[in-house]
Formats: sequence, structure tokens, C-alpha cells
Amino acid sequence: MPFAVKAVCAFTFLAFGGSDIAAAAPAQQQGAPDSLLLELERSLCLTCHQAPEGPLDFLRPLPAPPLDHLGSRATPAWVSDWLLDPQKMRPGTRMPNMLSGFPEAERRQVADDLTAFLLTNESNQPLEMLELAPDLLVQGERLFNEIGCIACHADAFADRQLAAMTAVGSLRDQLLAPHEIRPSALMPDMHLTSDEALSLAAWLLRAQQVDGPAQQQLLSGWNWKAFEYGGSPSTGPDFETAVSFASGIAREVNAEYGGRKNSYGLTFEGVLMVPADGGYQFYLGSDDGSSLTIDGETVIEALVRQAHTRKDASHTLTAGAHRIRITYYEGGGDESLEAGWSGPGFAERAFAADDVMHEGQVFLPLGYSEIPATASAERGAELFDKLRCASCHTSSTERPTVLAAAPRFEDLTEGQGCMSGHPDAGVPSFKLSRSARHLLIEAIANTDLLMDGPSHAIRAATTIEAMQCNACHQRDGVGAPSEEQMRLFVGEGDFGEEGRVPPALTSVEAKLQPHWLQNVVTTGEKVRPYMMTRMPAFGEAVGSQVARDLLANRRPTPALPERGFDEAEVQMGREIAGNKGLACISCHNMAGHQSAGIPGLDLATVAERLEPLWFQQWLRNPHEMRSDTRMPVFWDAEGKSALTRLGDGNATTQINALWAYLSLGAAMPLPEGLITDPNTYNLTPMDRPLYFGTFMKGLSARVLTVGFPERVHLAFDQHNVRLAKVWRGDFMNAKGTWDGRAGQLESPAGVEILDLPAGPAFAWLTAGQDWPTESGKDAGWRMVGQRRDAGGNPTFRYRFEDLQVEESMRAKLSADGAYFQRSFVLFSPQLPSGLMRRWLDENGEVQVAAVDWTPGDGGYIATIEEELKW
Amino acid sequence: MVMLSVLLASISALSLQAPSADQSASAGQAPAPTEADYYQAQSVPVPDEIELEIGGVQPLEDGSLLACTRRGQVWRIVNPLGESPQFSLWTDGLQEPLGLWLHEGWIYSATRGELLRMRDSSGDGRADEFETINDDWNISGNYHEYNFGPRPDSEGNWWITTNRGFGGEPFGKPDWRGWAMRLKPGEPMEPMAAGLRSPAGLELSPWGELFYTDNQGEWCGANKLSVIKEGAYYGDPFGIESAHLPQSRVTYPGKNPDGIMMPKAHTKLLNFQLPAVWFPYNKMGRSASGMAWDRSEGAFGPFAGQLFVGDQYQASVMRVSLEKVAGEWQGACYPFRKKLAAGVIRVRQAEDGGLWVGMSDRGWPSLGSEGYGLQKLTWNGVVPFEIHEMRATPTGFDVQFTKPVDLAQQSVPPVKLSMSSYTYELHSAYGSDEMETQELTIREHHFSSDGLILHVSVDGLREGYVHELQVKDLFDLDGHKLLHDVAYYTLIHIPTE
Repeated sequence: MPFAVKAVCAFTFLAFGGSDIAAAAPAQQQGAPDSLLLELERSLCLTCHQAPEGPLDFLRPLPAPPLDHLGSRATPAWVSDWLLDPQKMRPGTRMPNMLSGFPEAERRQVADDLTAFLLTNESNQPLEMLELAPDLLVQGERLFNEIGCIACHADAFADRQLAAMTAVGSLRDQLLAPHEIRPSALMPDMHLTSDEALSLAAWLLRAQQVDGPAQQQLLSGWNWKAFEYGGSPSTGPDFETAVSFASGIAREVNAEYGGRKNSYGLTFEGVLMVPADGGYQFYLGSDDGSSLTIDGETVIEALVRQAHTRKDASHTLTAGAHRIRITYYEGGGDESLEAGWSGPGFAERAFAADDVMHEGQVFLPLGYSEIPATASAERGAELFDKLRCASCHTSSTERPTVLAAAPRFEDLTEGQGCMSGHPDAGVPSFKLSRSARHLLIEAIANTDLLMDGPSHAIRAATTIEAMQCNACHQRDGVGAPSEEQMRLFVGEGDFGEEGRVPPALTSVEAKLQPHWLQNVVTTGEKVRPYMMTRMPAFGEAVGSQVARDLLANRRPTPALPERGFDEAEVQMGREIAGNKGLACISCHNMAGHQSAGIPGLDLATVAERLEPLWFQQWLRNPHEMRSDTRMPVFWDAEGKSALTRLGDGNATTQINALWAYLSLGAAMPLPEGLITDPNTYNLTPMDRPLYFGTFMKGLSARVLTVGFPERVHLAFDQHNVRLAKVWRGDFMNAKGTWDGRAGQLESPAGVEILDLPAGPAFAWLTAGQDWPTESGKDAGWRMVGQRRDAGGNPTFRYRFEDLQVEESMRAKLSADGAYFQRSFVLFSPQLPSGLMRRWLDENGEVQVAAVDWTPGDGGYIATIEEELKW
Repeated sequence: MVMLSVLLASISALSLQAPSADQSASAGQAPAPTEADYYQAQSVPVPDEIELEIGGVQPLEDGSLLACTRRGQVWRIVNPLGESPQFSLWTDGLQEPLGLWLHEGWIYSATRGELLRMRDSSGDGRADEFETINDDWNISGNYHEYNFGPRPDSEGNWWITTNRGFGGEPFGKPDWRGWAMRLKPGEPMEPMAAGLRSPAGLELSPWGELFYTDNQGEWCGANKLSVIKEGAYYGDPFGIESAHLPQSRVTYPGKNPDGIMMPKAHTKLLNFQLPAVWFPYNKMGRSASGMAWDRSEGAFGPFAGQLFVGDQYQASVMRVSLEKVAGEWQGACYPFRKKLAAGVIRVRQAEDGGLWVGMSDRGWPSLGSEGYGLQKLTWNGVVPFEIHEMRATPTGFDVQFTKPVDLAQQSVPPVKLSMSSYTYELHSAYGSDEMETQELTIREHHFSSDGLILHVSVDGLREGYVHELQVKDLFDLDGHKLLHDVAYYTLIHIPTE
């Protein structure tokens, strides 16, 4: 069986690179505490054999998979075979052979009994078999190669074991939540969508389609096919002769199958499940043409080029299954297709997936058989306890472990127990290699030598090896994918290898800030959208371990002097980034907006991720740090740039300014020259405030939102006559308002949304009264209008009887991004004694104070300045 | 859009003469003249980055235009028909403005939530002052709660019409949907008439009465043009509960009978108002929109004083003539100009008599080839052979033509006239078929001696019914057939003299 050495986190039952691999790795220097510790960490010794408390605690073995839901993911035959001889099934696995001490003739029965116990657990779901549609297989293979599965698994999945072990739906669920099955996180989370996991599962189990027993079933959904347009320009393809270019299973009917926008046709075919005898109404709407036939009879037909037009028709049907077919074609322009029905007892709805079925094939796992009748779950339970399986495999029920019974670690003797060549019944057989056995014997004999723990360097190396980081990332010249695999890694845009192959980890602990390093390993957060390979998520435990081990290896760096916020410096940085400066925007995305050229790494992430010192060194000498980078150098050897207009062309000044600007992160004012989201509905204020009136969720149907280039934004609720929301980052997406016809309630597109408390900013309070929560017409507040100054900044004007309020909003930059300067001018012909003002302070605390008035022309005036920070 | 304007420009360059057909009426050699041979449509090229989904058009004195869009922007377009018109954003942030009106230096607009006025007081090309004139109504967040207008009446009061909602009302059921409102500055709004459905056009007639157009649907059998009367009910009960509120000028009309012929509806519904003109569905478009009276006294061709009405679905402009009989307005509609670039929302007459046509198809599909646009319809000085006006007489109709017919040719073969009449049903389902259709017998017809008027006597005229007249095989002195050979007359009253 071709099983690559790298496939140590192969997504199969219990597979971790065990003792065989250990012998080949850094543990070559026999006798050194590091290599002894390494072997101990890889072995499972400390699971059963208690060691002296203290420095060895970090050697706790990785947790084994819990077995509570084993029946939801593995077939009986596979489990039984596995128990019989795990090392034969998966050379290198850390799962010991637990049955080798039984007489050979009894072993199969023992394995079957254990299987019966493990798989008859009530909480198991049946294996979910699903059909393997051709489009799924294509997508699955593409994903396997592109997102990085192949770096660890190579051709492991040509292995038929997986196809014998599980079913498509079950594997999909495992791929979606690998940490649940494998708390060790050795199989990391690849950020798959449900569709992606399904297609990967289908492709990984494709052997079932060739060799597996098939079952014909009626399955929900339609068979769809996409066709070349051909045929008549007005009436579309002749579907009998047209050439099909894609097909699959559809859960709903729409115009999007096949992935084209123009010049294509679609057919949807299936069996309509009619619930009762009676009259049914069908509708079919399309741009361009479409038809609907039932049992060969045309019910609706509109074979014309048209804007979206809906037709309705009635049709009498008997209860039961009827053949249904929808054809559709699109010449040019907009495309749309809708179809549905209503009938006795149900209101109009689009065809739901269960309204229409199709005949499909599902495939059983290879060699599938039920649990043998001779197997006994009761005997299996006794065996499970007797073999102390719960020592490694945790379960929801309390089961006996071996800890109390096994000898202590320092008391172990060579040639006894599991170190014996032929372990007794009930003792695990690890099939240790000679070198591993030697290392362990040495470790046992020298327990006191190990008490200092491993060196930082070896810890970092061990961690990187254990987590298979080297499968994708090179570090200090070690690792990285093979040439062959590297060819499969793809990227978008013209970045060369930099855009396809994950970055080197050499000195990564000096490059990334600690929190970011931990974050990347924990969550797999990705900053290189052009790279198709995915950084997996290893979860909290592994993330903090990696950060701990790598950072311990870090050389101390001189602390940079603390620099205060300087708006002029930020603006210089903004100019440098823009098209009239060093034009970073030519190749780098900015705060989620596409660069003018190739979509390079988003610079808004830089200050959050990178160490400032590393950033300086990178800007000055990128080619020293990565020889094949396309990052240009902007300063000569003396540290002078051609851009002398800003900061005298001095490298340090300019780089500091860039850093100050990029430190604002996603809330940065966007640099000049960025062309924001052409032809999308993202609204991006660039050189002056941008106004967008809309219905807003949680507020009212009459909200004026104002976006500012400083990337703070506001929503003024004109129905309730009050400032209602402020937020940062992106402004608004207008698609629901500008494109749809549903009257969508919009929400801010940005982050850090502050909801101001309901009610007016000013009120008269009598003693003990709460601040009013109503501020609209019914409460006496009325909009008067608005003014916009020469720069486009708003002043909202409103009144309460004689009291006139002008509320002006200006955006200001600060170290925390930006905030609003909120200014009020109040006027009243009579002195409005007792008028109170309410605002939020920087901590979000509500403050209330009396308004101070001064006599003015024809009445009384009050002016109030407020910094609205949040 | 650019290509289209080139195409249209080449059409206009062809000739100022209508194509001449063979005198001998063996027409067919030369192509028959088309609408575009008399009324050219010139497109304003719109920069790619602007989605000019027009809701309103306001020509300014300096020859530039303001156009508001359904995206809430107002664009100023300088030199709109020049080689490279300049677009600049005059303001933004309005909610679905569907009309603009210039009045005393302010631009008025009716948005979803308010009637407001705006101006650029600093002269920097951007509106800087915004004043709420009236916002006494609330809106629910329903997409269809548009407001149309605004239009000042002869006393300087503002009018708007409110579209009824369809579907969800996330912020609660609002009052006053499907109403015509009078808004006097500084005073509470006055809800004047009820029962409107989608009243997309609102215009003041030259004689001072307001008219509105409405769209076929529930309770509205076909598109229609109606005069707005204080206290009148137009048939859609969606917002009629508001008639119980104290501000209402409409007395609650009673509960709608579901299925009654329109001419009888007034017997069940208090103050029910029949339209002045029905636009038969599909025959005359599918979605009547903005309108403009031709006040150019001939600069826009032979139809001075008549009404031009846009149609959104058909991307066309239709034509209407009105007359008052027994105290009620009634009249006929005629096809006028199809094949415009996109669904017509607004028509506004320019100083030179041409018609600005503002277009958008978002939300409502249209036959136009573009999604939106701005065109100007201009008469090229050649009179088309058209039915100028169809008028009711005690015994039938007088049909006046724009040019004398070829009386000599009348004998072989004679004109073919046919007429039918029908009405619509008031009911809750969408639209109405043509109901109680009758083929009518033309008892007698003759031409005036100058060949300009055809007098038709008809048996079985019915009050309250649409009378559809087809005029085939009629030629003018150039041998041209009628450009449009059909007219639809809504006969509310048969004149007594």
C-alpha cells in the first residue's frame, strides 16, 4: 500500500507518525536528553506509567479519538480488521495491537465482540450514503490538490481502506468538524463549507462508485444539465440535440447552474411528488425563455427573448409521481429563472427540494457487512474494560483505566510488559523499532537527566514536525512540498511562487507578533487571498503550544521607542501609500479594497501582524529576506528615496510614517488613487462624505446614513429625529436597496457599531423621571432639514416646538482610528430652563448635564462640543 | 448607450422629409414611414460609472438638466446633447426620489418620507440646504411605498400621490397609502383623494386641474388617466381605512364589491371616480407613468395642447386628447412613439418643445434595450399622417386627422372602419379582461370636404365603455397610410349636442 511518510495525520482512524518515523528524525543523537524526550513525547508511555511530577508533565500524550460515535463513521468490518492488527492496516500508527496476547484462533472473535460493543452505542447515527454526482467529483479533486490536503496525504486516499471504512455523508461531517473526532488536532480544520466537504468526501471515496455495491433510490432534488445555446436566436437551444457542458443535482431551480451568464440553456428533470388529487397552479418566470412540462404535456411555455416575465397556469393532477421537466435558456443581458406551485392545502412556494425527486445511486462502503451475528456486545464491553481501552480513548461513560495498575515509569524494566517481544494477553504491543526501544530504555534509566526538559530549539523543531508545518512551510532549509506537489499549488494573480507556496517559517517568531502567531495556528486566519492553499485551524490547545514553543526560541530584540499619535505623520503615511507617493496600492489591497493592479496582501493587516523591526528590515531589504520576492526596494543604500517631497525622502521617516498610518488597521482612511469596488454595491466614501438614504434594521424606514473618508460613519434616523448609530470600517452595501425589490432593511457594512441609546439628545426631566425613549413626531420632535458644508459634512436640523437644534458631525483622526466631533447649536426664543443634555462618554457611560445658555440675538443660544469616541 | 445614440443620430441625419411613397398607392416599394421618421430620439451618453436610473427630470434655464435617480442621487448634466456632456453629482442620500420640480430657485422633490426642497446656495455645484416641507406621513419599510410628484397647483400648493404597499411592512402598517395629498407649506397635510394604486404620473393640466395615471392590478382593471377630485375614491381599498381619520377629505366609500362592472361601481361606492381615459392593457402599454401636456404651441408638432404619457413596460410614449362632456373629462388615447431606450418613467417638456424622457427598468422589467437612460424626443418638422383627435358626438365620433385624406382615392378601395366597445371589472384579482365586449355597427361615415374630419355614426354606443376604433386603408395625399390606425375612446357620457 503506497502510504507516504508524510501522511502521519492521515484522516483515518488513529494515525499519528509513530516510532518508525521517530527513528529517522532529529533523534539521531542517541543519548542526548533532547532525543530521549522526543521519543517519550511520541510514545504513549506516560499514558499508563506515571512519572515523577514536574518537568515531564509537558510530555502528556496527545489525546486519542473518543469512540462514542465510532459507529457514525466506520463500518463493522473495518473496525474489526483494525483491532485485529492496526499496524498492518496503517504502518506507523500509535494504536498498539491489543489482541496479540490472545490465542490467534480467538482474536477475530475478540475483535468482533469489541466492534459490536463500540458500534451498538445508542448515540451512533447510521452511516449516511449519498450519491456521487459528477460535478462533486470534479470539485473534490480540485480542492484536494489546491487547498493543501495533498501536502500531508499525498496519494493516501487512493487507499481503498477509506472507501471500506466510511460513507460520503459521514466523511463530509468528519471533514467539517475534525477536532471533534480527533482532539489531538493532528487533522486540522480546513475551513470547508458543507458543499466543499461533500465534494471532497465524494472524491476521496470515489472507489465506491467503481467497486462498491450500489443501491437505486429516489433522492430529493432535480437532475440538471447545462447546454450550449445553439438553436434559434429567439427560441433558444434544441435540447434534444444541444451539447451539454455540465450537469449535477439541483436542490432548487434557478438560472445559476453551469456558471455562465450568457448563451446557455438548462434543463431540470425529476419526478414531481403530488400529494393529493386536485387542481394545482404552477408558475414559471424567466429572463429569457422557459417551459414547464408534466408527463410530456406542456403546462407553461414562453420561448421568447424577454425581460423577466412570470406566467401562471393550472393543471389537474392525480396523487403520486409525475415526470416534470423545466427548460430554460439565456441569450444575453440579465438572467433569471423561478418556478413553483400551489395546490390543495398548501400556498404558493418555489419548488422545494422534496417536492421533486430524481432517481439516483448511492454506494455502500467497499466490502460492507453488518456486525456478525456471533458477536456479543456484552462480551465486547467486558473486553473493553479488561483491555483498559479507556486509558486512551475517553468516553462519556466512566470506564476503568490502567493508571492505578501499571508500574510507575521509573520502575519499568527492559523486556517486561509492552517492552517484551511477545506481550501477554491484555498488554499492548507497539512493535517498537530497535532504535526506539533503545532510546526508551535509556530514558527510563536516566529519568533524572530529563528533568531540565528539552532545549527551546528542539521544542520548536519538535512542534513544527509534530504539526506537520513542514509539509507546506520550509524552515531553515528544511521541509516544503515536493516539486510535484508544488505544481499543484495554485494562486490567483501574477505573484510567482510567492503567490502559490505558503511562506517560509524561518525566523517566523521574529516576524510575527506573538498574538498573531498564536492566532494563525489556532484559527488558520489567512491574509493571502490569492493563495489557494489554506492555512488550517489547529485549535486553541495546539495554537498556544506552538506559540509557546516558538516564542521561547525567540532572540530578544531591542524595544523600539514608544511613539505618540501624530495626525500629520499618519497623513504622510497615507500619501506615501497612495498613487502620488510610493504607490503601495499598485500591488497591495487596502482595508478590503482591491489594489489597482495585482491583489497583493492587504496592508491594513500589517501592523496587527508584524513586528515593527521586521517591517523596517523587510522594506529596506526585501530581497535579502526572500530572494524571489516581487516587492521592490524604494530606498537606496544611503536610505534616500526618489520621493523627496515627503519626509525629505528619508527612509526612517517614511517607514515610520507608513507604520503610523498602517497602525490604524482596517479603520484607516483609504489612500488616494484606490479605485473602490467598481460595479459593486459597496459604497465607499473617498474624498468627501457620501450620503445614502435607506430602510435600516432596528431603526426605521427613513434613515440617512453618511459615510466619511476617515472611515467612521453614522446613521441619522429621520423618523425618530436622532443620531442612532456610528461605526467604523466599511460604510454600507446598497445592494438590497438599489438592486432588489424587497425593501430590504440594511445594516452597516462595517465594524465596531455603536448603538446610541433611544431617545432625544435633549430633554426636560422632572424629578425621578427616566430619560425619554421616544424622540419622533409623536414625542414632538420634527425634522427641519439639513445643511452640508463645503466639504460635504452634515448638519442635521430639527426642533421641539420653539427649541431649534443644529447637530453637526465631523470626522477626526486619532490613534484609535477616528471619532466624531459632534457639535450642537441650540436656539430658543425663551430661556428653556431645566433642559438637560445626554451623551455617551469614551467608556460608553451615559452622562447627563444641564445645558448652559447665553443670551443671543432674539433669544438664547447654547453651543456644545462633544467627542463621540467608542 | 453610446451605440444607440450614434444610431439615432444617423437616423436624424437621413432627411427632414418624410419618405415619399408612390402616388399610385401601390405602396410597398419604399419602406413605410415609421414613428422615428417624425420624432427622433436622441440619447444622452451616460458615463459607465453612473447608473442613471431616472426618477425625475428638471430642465434648467441654462440648458443643463437635473436628473434624480432611484439611487437617491441628483445629477447635473451640462450640455446633455453635446458630444461630451458633463455629469456632476448635485446631491445624494435622497430616498427613492421619483420627481423633481424647480420653483423659486429651489428644487422640490418627493422622497419616500418627505416633501423637501434643496438648493445650492454657495454655487459650488452641490446642494447645501435641505428643508423639509412636509413629512406628516409615516412609512413602513415596504419597497413599494413610493411617492410621486411633486407638482404645484395654480395656487402654489404642492401635490403628491402615494403608492400603495405590497407585502411586508416591517415598521407597521402605515396610513395614507394610495392617496393624493395636498401639502401647503407650513400646514398639516391634506389627504384629498383615495383609492389610488400605483399612481406613477401626476401633472397639472393647462386649465388648472390635476390628473394622475395609475397602473393595472388589483381593483384597477387597466392603466388609466384620471382627474383628481377632492373627496373622490378611485377604487383600490388598500389604504381606505385612513378615510376614518380626521384629516381625510374623503368620506369612507363603503366596502368594495368584488366583481362589478366599472360603469356601475358608483352605485355601490360613494364618490367612485371613473377615469377620463383607459389605456387598454398591452394594446397601449402596460404601465402608465409620467406625463406632460404639450405647451409648445406647435414646436413639438401638430398635437399642441394634447397630453403625452410615458409607459414603463413598453418603453414608449403614448398620446391622449381630452374633452369635457356633461361636466366630466373623457377622451382618447393613441400610440405615439415606441422603441425608446428603456422603461419610461418621466417625460418633461423642454423650452424648445422637445420632450425629455427619463427612463429606468429596475424593479419593473421593460422592453427597452437598456436598463436606464435619458433621451430627448424632437419633432423634425414633418407632419405625420395621424389621427389627430377623436371626439364624441351624439351619434358617434368625429375623427380628425393631422392632414387631409386623399378623398379621390376613397372609392377604390374604401376606408375600412371597425369598432368595438368593452369595459373592465372592479375586482380583487390582478387586472381585468376586457368585459362585455360588443362589435359595433358603423351605420354611416363621411369625410368633411377638406378631408380633415371623418364623421362616424355608430349603433349601440355605451356610456362608461371604451370604444376602440380601427381605421384601415386610409391614405393621405402622399399615399401614406395612417402611422397609427387605432384610437381608444373612453366614453363616459354621450354628448347631447
